[in-house]
Amino acid sequence: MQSPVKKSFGLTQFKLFLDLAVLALFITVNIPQLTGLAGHEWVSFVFAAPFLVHLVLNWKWIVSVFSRLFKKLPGETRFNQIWDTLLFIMMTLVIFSGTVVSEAALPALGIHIEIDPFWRSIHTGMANLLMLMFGVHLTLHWKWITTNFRRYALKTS
Amino acid sequence: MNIFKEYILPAIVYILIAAVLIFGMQFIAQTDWAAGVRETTANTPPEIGPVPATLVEFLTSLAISTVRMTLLIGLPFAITSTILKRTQRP
Repeated sequence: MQSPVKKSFGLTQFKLFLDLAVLALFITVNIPQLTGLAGHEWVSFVFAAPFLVHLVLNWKWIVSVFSRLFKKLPGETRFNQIWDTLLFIMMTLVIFSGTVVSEAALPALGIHIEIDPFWRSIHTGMANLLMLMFGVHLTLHWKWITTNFRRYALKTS
Repeated sequence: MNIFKEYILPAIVYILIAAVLIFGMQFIAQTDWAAGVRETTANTPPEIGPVPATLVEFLTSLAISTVRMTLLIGLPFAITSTILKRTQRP
């Protein structure tokens, strides 16, 4: 989701640090061997909030691209549109399936759900696929990330 | 700045789309295919256990996680990056 770099200093800076937080949380969520099951589940719940904010902050880009759904778009923008849509679908299903197979976080909150192995399978399979897709998503926006990281975090330009 | 239009409405739209997706998946969960998946998965032990308790366990988990991250995020990142560089070359 590309947005003009110098649109708003405060907003771009916030988006950069939010995206870095989303990246860090995404990586933490995807190393359950290190965090353990309980850690994986709690971090996943935390991850959902900045993920939603990330989507909300890119709303204008999404609207502008989807308003031209059947019109001619540059190849990279069209690819981004399709890829990000798939990523959103996958992320939604991974978060939902992860929630309904929760063995530590939900019971700790007093919510007990009978775990359906179907959702466990969906969660594992889609989470692995999601990581592959995330790698591509990261590349497509790498230029934006590095440019703004230099500008706002390193303050070099 | 219209906070409702710029932030709250988009969040509601995302949540509604997510709800529709989840609703659709509930139908898929009732199919014969899902029953097959359920049967297979029921006999598979969970992949994730507790936090590593010893240094050896920690180092093993760290190695597994690093390989997983490299293959699942790093590799597509590198491939896409190479493709983009080649296609965007002037």
